[in-house]
Amino acid sequence: MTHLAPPNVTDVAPDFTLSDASGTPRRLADLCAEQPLLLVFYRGHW
Amino acid sequence: MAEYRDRFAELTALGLGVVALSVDEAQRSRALGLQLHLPFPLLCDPAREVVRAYGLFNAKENGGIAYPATFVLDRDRTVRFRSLDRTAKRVDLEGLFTFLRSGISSPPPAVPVRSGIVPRARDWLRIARNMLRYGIRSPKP
Repeated sequence: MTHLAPPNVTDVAPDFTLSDASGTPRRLADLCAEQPLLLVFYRGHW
Repeated sequence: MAEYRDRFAELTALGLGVVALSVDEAQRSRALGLQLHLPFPLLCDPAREVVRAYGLFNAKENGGIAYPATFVLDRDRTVRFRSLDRTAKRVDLEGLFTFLRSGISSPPPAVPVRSGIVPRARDWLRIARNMLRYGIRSPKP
């Protein structure tokens, strides 16, 4: 898939599972299920 | 990231969880979290798959990193707020907090749709009917 656009307001954000810095897998759907979530993408490579 | 750390208590008080994501691998993310004393999880996307899926892949810098962006997601992953910044290094938090304090669960205010200035045919019919029923003039007070 190419040229995907960032989800806009009222879109459903794509679900995913990634490991956190401790190696624990985290799934977005589970993170959101308890409470609304602030999802911050940052540049990294600091 | 430091700004999110500094305002983490406010975000928690507003009922939000916080999660940050970058293309850094686990070791680098761990180091950053420790160095900045970050109170929220850092997710690692070294394969750049999630960053691409969100349309936030910046291929031009550092071998491919994420464009900075912030989303407020509701419990069903519906996006309630989005802030993208492709030029500056940081995301502005004031816009985020303005949105949050207005209530993240409330739907955006509906903009009334104006269908036009000229009355429709049904409006003229209603006017004519009322004129016949009640007369042209309004009742005297």
